[in-house]
Amino acid sequence: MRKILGFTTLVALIIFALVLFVESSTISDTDAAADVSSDGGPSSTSFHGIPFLTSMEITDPQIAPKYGINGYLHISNSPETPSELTLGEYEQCLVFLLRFVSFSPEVTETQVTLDPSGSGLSIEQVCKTGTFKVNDLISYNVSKTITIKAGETIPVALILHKPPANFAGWVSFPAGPVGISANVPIIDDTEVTVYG
Amino acid sequence: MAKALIMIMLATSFFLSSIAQVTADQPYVGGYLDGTVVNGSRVIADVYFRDTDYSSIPSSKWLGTVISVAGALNNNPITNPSGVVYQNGLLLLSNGSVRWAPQAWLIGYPLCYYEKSVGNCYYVAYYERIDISSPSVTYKIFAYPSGQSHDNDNPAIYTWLNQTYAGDTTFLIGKQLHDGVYYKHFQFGVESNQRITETQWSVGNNMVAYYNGTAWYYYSGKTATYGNNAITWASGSAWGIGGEAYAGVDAVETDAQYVRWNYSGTSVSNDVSLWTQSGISYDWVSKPYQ
Repeated sequence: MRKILGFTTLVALIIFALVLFVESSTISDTDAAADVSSDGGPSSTSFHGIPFLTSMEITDPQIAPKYGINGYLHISNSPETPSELTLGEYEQCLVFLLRFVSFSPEVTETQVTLDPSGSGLSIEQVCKTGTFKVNDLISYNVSKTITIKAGETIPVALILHKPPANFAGWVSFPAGPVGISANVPIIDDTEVTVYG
Repeated sequence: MAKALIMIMLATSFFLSSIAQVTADQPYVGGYLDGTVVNGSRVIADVYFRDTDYSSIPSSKWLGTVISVAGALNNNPITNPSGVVYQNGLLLLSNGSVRWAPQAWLIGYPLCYYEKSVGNCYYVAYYERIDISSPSVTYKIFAYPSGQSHDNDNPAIYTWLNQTYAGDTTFLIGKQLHDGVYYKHFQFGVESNQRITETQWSVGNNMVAYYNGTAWYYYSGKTATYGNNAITWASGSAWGIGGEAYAGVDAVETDAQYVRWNYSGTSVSNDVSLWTQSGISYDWVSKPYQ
């Protein structure tokens, strides 16, 4: 019995050691230091790769922290906000959900700025008679700066006005959470196409 | 005995879960504008996915087309790259949606990040563009959903306004030799989190150019495979795009400012000529160039 226990413990330790080896090897595959040669002759400069991150990596708590990312802001349509709508005579109200996801217990909240005329996303639509800026059609119903706690979801309503009459001939334009910025990556999953 | 079994189960599950969550490989293949290093304030490329059967892409993978450019200080193009790399990219997912993911990097860490859905793979064209005007960097996507929108030059324009980093005031374009390594400062190409081998996908890069303050211009183009695609240097190291070579990808169609990357099993070599022409860039549409 003791021999069996000792053997199984040894197997578990071996597996654990393999885990550490695989993780360190994988990280170093991307950051592999290698002698870089060139047409100019041999070089001893080490070479490292720069990955391209997407939401698949940003939202993965096993991957994101390796790049110093401890959370992200996720924005989505509220259930009552359709992905397509027809703009009638009056303004429309759209509601987006802002959720802060933290990967670190030390990161408990994030500051989010909502200013259609500030940093962040801007959308323009070119039509036959010119270009209008969707940001100019939008106003938010919340303070310019809000705090979202880790794990918290806050609904944010925006009012969407019609493009000025002098912009004619547009068929559709995308609307979205323009002018939103934060000190964490933003994953914008909203989809709203506005038809005339 | 029970404790030992629990220990084995925990170790095994940890091992298996670690394999599934292993850092992605980031295969990459691209091209670069091959000319004497100059400064530029904007870079651009037209990209498309429409020849790809997106439904064959596994849901755990993405197919990206990325433009990458090195930032620099004080308009000194030969000796002062800052180490910052600015990237604008579009990703094709297994459901056919196309997502936009601008970002910037320094010494292996991201400085900023944003992602948004901007259309689908049937769009006629997307133009990726990055502008620098200190203290701001502007990432733009011009999306043309249909032939009509393209013919009328009526795109939707997405802009993400962010900042410059490390005091950058300009981009570097072209190639230079530094400490025995050739640096290809503006690259365009294809990248994935993992090699997509399930379908013979195609990605087109077209109208690749930079703005020299007077006109949109381009040099001759060549391929840059991973390991031979250093784009900047920082902290004594060379930094390139991606994490490994995109084996099985070839440049199957080329013309001035144009390459179509195709996964067919044949791997293109490094520094293969894509086009030999150079000069002012002329396009069918004008909005992406304004």
